[in-house]
Amino acid sequence: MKHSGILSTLVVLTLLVTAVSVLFVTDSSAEGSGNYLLVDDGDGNTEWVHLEAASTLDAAIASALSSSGREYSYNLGEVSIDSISSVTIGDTDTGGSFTTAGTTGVTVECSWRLYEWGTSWTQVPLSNLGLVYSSGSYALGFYPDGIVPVETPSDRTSWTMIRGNSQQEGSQDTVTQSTEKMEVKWKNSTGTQGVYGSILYANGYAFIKYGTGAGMSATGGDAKLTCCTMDGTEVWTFHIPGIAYYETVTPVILGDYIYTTSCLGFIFKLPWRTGPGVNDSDVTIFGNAPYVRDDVIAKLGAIPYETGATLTGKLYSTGPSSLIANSGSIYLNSSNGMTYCFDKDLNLIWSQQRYGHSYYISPTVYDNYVFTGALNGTLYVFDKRTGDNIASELVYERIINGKPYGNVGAPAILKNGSLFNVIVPFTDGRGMSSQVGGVAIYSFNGTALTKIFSTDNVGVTSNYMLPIDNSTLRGAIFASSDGVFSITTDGALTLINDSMAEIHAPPVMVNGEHIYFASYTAGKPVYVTDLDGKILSTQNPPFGVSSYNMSPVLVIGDYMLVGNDSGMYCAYGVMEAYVEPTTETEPWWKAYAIAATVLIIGLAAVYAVLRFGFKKEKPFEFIGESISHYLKSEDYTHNTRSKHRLLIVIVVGLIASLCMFVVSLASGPSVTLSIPETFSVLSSAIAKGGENLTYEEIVIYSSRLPRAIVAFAVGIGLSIAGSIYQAIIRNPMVDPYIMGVSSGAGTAAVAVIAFDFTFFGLFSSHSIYLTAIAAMVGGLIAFGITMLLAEKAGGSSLNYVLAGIVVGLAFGAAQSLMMSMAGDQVSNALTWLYGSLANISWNQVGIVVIPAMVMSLVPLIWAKELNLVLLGEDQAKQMGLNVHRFNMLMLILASVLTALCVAFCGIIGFVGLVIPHLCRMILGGDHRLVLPASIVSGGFLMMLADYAARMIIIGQELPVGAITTIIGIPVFAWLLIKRGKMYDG
Amino acid sequence: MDFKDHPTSKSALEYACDFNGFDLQYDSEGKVVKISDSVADENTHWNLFVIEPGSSEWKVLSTPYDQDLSKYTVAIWAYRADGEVPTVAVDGTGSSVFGYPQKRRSITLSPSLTEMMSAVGGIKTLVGTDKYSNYPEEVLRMRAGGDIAVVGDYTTPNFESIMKADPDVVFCDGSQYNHIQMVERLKKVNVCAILMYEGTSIDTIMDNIYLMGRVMGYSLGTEIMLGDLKYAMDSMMTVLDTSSSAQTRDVMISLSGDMSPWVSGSYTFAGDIVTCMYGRNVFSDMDGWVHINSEMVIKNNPSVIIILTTDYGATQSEYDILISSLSREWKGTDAYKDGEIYLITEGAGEMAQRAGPRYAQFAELVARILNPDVFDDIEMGKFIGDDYRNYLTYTKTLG
Repeated sequence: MKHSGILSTLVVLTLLVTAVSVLFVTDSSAEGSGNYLLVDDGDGNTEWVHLEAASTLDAAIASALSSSGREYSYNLGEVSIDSISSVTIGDTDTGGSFTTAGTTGVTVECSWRLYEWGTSWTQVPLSNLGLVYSSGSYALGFYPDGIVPVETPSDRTSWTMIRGNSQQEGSQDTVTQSTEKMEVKWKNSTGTQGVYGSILYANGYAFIKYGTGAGMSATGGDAKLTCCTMDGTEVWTFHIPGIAYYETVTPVILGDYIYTTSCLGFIFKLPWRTGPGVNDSDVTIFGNAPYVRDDVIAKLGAIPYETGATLTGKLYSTGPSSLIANSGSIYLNSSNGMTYCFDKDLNLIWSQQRYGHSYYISPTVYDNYVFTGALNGTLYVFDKRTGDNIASELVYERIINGKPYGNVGAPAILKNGSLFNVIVPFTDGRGMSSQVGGVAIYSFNGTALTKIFSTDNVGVTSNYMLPIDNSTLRGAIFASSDGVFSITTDGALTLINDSMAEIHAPPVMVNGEHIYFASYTAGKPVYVTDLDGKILSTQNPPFGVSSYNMSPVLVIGDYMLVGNDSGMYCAYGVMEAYVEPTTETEPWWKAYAIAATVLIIGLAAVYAVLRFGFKKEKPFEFIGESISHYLKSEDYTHNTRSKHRLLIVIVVGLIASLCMFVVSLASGPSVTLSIPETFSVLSSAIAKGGENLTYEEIVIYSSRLPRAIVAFAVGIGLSIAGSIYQAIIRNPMVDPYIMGVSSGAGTAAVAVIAFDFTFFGLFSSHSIYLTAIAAMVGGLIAFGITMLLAEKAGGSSLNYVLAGIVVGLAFGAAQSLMMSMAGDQVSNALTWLYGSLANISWNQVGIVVIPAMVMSLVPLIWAKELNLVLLGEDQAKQMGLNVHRFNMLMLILASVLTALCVAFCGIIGFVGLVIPHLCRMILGGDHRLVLPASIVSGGFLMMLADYAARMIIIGQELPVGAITTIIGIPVFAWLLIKRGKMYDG
Repeated sequence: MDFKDHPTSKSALEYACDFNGFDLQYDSEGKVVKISDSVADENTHWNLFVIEPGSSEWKVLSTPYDQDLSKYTVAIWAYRADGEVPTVAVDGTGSSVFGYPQKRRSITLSPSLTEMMSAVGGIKTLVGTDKYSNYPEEVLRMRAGGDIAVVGDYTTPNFESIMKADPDVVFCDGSQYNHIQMVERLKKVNVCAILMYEGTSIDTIMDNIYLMGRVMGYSLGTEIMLGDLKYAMDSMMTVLDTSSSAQTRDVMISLSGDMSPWVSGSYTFAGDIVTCMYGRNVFSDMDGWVHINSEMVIKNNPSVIIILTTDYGATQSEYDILISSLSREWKGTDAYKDGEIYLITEGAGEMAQRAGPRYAQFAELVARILNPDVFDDIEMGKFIGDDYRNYLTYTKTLG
């Protein structure tokens, strides 16, 4: 229930809490037990008070209402509450119609009526107020005959229109009792039928209007209005013809009926408890006429898109806006420029022209006035009884291409005695293309609007605001593209939060203290803030309904219903408290302090055990000596020492690689999951065999897993190739590209990418393997030429280096020439040349990983021979090695390995040069140690670099070759300084 | 034009009109009343404007017909209301560009500038282009006939080739580093070099067209052409604005079908066109063309994907190859599921990647792709190639 005014809200709240706690604690199942009075203002505002036995019902009500601060009187057969006793909507016929402004002669007599609760509300004569009151629940409703209140003694809350009441306050009071952590109870996601308006609630039922993804069409693409229970069970569904894409209209509930619109220019009326009936037989349209689908599609009797008046602003032909109920009448705007008022049977009462289009935004009805804007940037005030135009002011206008544009959103209104403070959001009215927006404040005295304040320096503002009237703020809170602002009625503007993701949906205030903001951005949460804009808690959308959101959140008790572009979900329970991403609330040193404490305790424990358990005099020296002994002691043979060192390197390297692998899978630019979630998603994806995957499964199984595997394999391959080259050529400056492989591969790849070279028609020009195979062949050709040259020159390692450099230069030159002729294909070629794992999928994994791993592991067999070669050719020969043949074999192996790595990922530098050096610096020159160590560290570095390449700028890919260098250089430099003196390559 | 060849301003005017194929008419008193389609009336006349050496102010000559034009720095015949002076434009280097006399030998250094030259009506003046300029076909014919020299490729124009072609004016592309350098070099040897703005939006393209027309001295024709472009764009936008079935759709503009493709962010002309035509660019939070991570394709879940390329042929079989080779991330998008992946390739792909006057045609293709229910007179194919004109009505006759 909603009510303006802090005092009454507080009182109502106190009463409600008391009443409901009694109800739920003592007898939660007792339907209608307890004696209540409902005051239903007929505009969405309701108030429940407890009735005590009294001499008359009149006296009981007077006593109950005096405690809630409302003026009540009953005399001369008329009830008056807060000085309001009756109003007549409508007037004699002045020719009003869908296209002409005026009244039609239809009238609605609205006054306070008395209802008695049995199993439903029954209207009883006001004279019953004079009867003796002992027990039972009653309602006073400001309605015409034939309408009964929606709320009942057993369910004393409701949400019957877009912002809850006709004043568009967006404020809900409700009672929560759950202590469970919030969980998504159910969801409804079709992917194409989003929920764009507000979800409504009455008597335990939610009313959800699903839009259409098919666009407005006469024959297909119906939207639907569904009634369901709060656990998601469908009760009925009405298919609405002719709804445009992204139509954001919210229906209205008035009495026993729900009213919903079609872009074709109709309003449908159907009973909300039982739905449309068989073949929609219980649905009626204007004047209670039966709904005939074909006639509606043919727009027979529709509100037309054009009235003949000339309108300004951006043109829309989207039909009616959201509906508002007040005084037993229904108010709406239309894109044709008119504002309409209908009675409960959908007879037109009056119409008024605004001379500007509008886009689904409902009018605000407050006291006797209708406040509304239009896409001509003007704010209007009409008399709610006759539609007479009382005042209008141009709020904002922007000339674009010689045409005026502007839009005034739904006004937020605060009453101050007989004055109204009107706060309006405005934009340049170009829909999604809007660039300028702002907020303006007017004062309205019943006859004229006076501008108090206006600014267009707050970003593009949303269409609905949240009026606030409490001890600290009298004004409004609103969201814009710059953040969330508060503004007072004097125009004092404060940016209260700029950290929430973009907010487009109308904010909703719950119990006067919490504001619910639904993020527009896909996948971002619903935020709950206090009135100062501080985020208190958040709730993320479940997978499957994480799309753009324009729909306000509905909060009923412990339920939260959220609609968005791909459907809706219902969550139940208490939201998780929000932890700010900055560590301001937790001092930065806290984690370190905890770690240090744990470390000190651990060390103390170790000290204690060693000192007193093993009786060592100096426990830490003992540990140091033990480790040093384990790695360096002369007690062990050289081999044993080396094995010990290797063990440490491999264990550390494998743990690091494993951690990096898991991080690569769990974390990424689009979504980050916990480790258990990652593995459950991965196993379910594998169980499905890679078919029909969900979003998360695709991301982890298809995007991240193959990349991590290939990164690991390529890192290993390049490191091993580098180790082999450096050993064979006995030159520390050598990297895997020294034999011309990279230049050859690059040249061939550029030829394919830039000139569509298809190996003379051998491959289809779009084969994903074409570039890879070309690169590999190119690389091997270059290597072949190098080898040929070197062998002719004598086959020494120096010959190889020189030949490799020359061939590399030649191919490099060819590549530069082709690049300069590549024209618009240059960027594609560059991407490949810089090296990237961005396009690695499962298709490449088998081709790269298995051969790369095999070729990387095979050299382990020949580690001893590589050691021999390092001693120099003569010594190696003396030891019985056919050096020439061995060298050639190794070079071929390393070159094929390099070509394979380069083929699919482009030219990734640094890994092959530096990893072998790193390993040698730590472990010495023994290849039995260097090769296994290169395997674990190369794989780790590559995975780390690839992870960085996709995470440094979220969403973008950076060249991984550059990243490997940036990560590797500091480590390398540090080691060089530390070990350089005793290291000779 | 060398004014020394023409003794009087009148003979110079006649020469210029003859060169450009303009209809020139005098009244009984010998005053110019009509050049091309513009007829003098009570308020608007053809006047001779000049700038004297050492001055930058326009001066109207009261006796325009027997002047020795070699006395002036600049002289133009302009169609202006009384009291108005010719407008000044500013190029990418910040230099002011006056309505110079009409240029007779021009060079354009990028395909989009060549298209622009053709659009402002200056194609006959072209004596050099970059290597990739291939539209309109007239350019290729002129190149084959030896009238147009290739003066380098797009990224690296060749100074010597440009000088050899002896241009009056050279148009350079502000998005290319080498072009910016070229402007400086050419200005040093007193060749009029104009640095055009980087074509990152419809507005910059329109500015560029205006600037080129102004420099070439074809202001009038250019303004008509700009009006036509604007009219075509406005017509399409009005149809969208007023249609009840127009939808705003989530669009990804990609340069390939790669798993992790290059896509258009904000500040690209393709992105601007899509936004204009009721598309919501799902990568608008990034700037320029960006290489995105494959996860972002499915995360941002476009409902329409437009691939701009020249790598594919516009045939069903090539389209099928493209679609079947898409990664799982692509196949997880609504666009794939709904069959809303469009291949703009061949000539249409070239057009879409050039920030030139054919942007309106590209815009119409986009408008039709995004809102087929609104533009239901032509059924869009999934692949659009050299035959793209078959899909156009609003802009069919432009460009």
